[in-house]
Amino acid sequence: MIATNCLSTIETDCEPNGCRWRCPIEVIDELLSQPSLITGNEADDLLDLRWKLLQADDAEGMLRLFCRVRLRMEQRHYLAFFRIRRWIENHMVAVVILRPGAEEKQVSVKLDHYCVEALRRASLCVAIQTDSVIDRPRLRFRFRPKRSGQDVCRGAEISGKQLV
Amino acid sequence: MSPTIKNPSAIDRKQTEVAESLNLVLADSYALMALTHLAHWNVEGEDFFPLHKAFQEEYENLFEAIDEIAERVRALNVYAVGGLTALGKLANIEEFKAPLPQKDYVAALVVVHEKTTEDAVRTRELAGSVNDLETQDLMIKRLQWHEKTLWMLKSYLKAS
Repeated sequence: MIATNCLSTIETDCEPNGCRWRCPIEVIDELLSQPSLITGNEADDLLDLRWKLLQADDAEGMLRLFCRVRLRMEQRHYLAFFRIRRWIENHMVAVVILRPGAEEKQVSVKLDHYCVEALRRASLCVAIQTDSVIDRPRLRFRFRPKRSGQDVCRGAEISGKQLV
Repeated sequence: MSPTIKNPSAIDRKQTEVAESLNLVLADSYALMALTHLAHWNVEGEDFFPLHKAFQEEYENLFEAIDEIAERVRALNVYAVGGLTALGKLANIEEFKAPLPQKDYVAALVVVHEKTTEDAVRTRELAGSVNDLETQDLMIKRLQWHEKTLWMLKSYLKAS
């Protein structure tokens, strides 16, 4: 659901199972394979991000780390971070409860900001635009569920075995 | 699947596959042209002039290429795909909407060029397998242009 005055940039109906964007693990592996272009600390952060993407059990932690790594590296590796960003946008949602007892709402996550708190605020703004009654709203980020028995990215599993 | 004019023989079937693969490249190219045009109109920022001009050169090249690809499809006795809905559905390319940061226009177009390149490579291989040198030649020409454009777009993104 995207509000008309939302800050989001790219509207998408892409689902994880039909994702047309390159797997972020593959993109990270490409970055890691160019040691002359990244520092030791950046390699450590990329490996942590890779692990969190493979585990897919801590969306907020992954997002926090992505924001940190993006802020540090994006200008030197713009295309790589564009691909990872677009993949995350297609595979993550913000789950919002606007007041106690209210139903959960899911809104798309648009990575137009460089910190999790700003992303949280932007996602909350989108959710609020469809409902005027708000009382102690709560928001958490979550990976979109994948179809049972099907990997989100088969390439990631293979690469994971090679590197981890 | 594109409608063929006649019921193909066994030999023609492979040639029809080539034409259908060409139709996919046609749809990709049309989608890429539309998105490049969108970027040309809406790009903003300090690099407006070079990007606006580069995008224009790209969509003009694509406009000419589309006609050439479609005419090759017809030469293979298959109807060329057309109409915005049909082209969009066949290309299956995720579209973007303005406004975007200028680097995002370039990165998003890189992704579409890469998809078009993949489909053109497949078509080139398919044409080679049936000794259709004319289609192969056309795809080689398109691939040369896409690869050169990818190099330029990626080089822009490497700038600070």
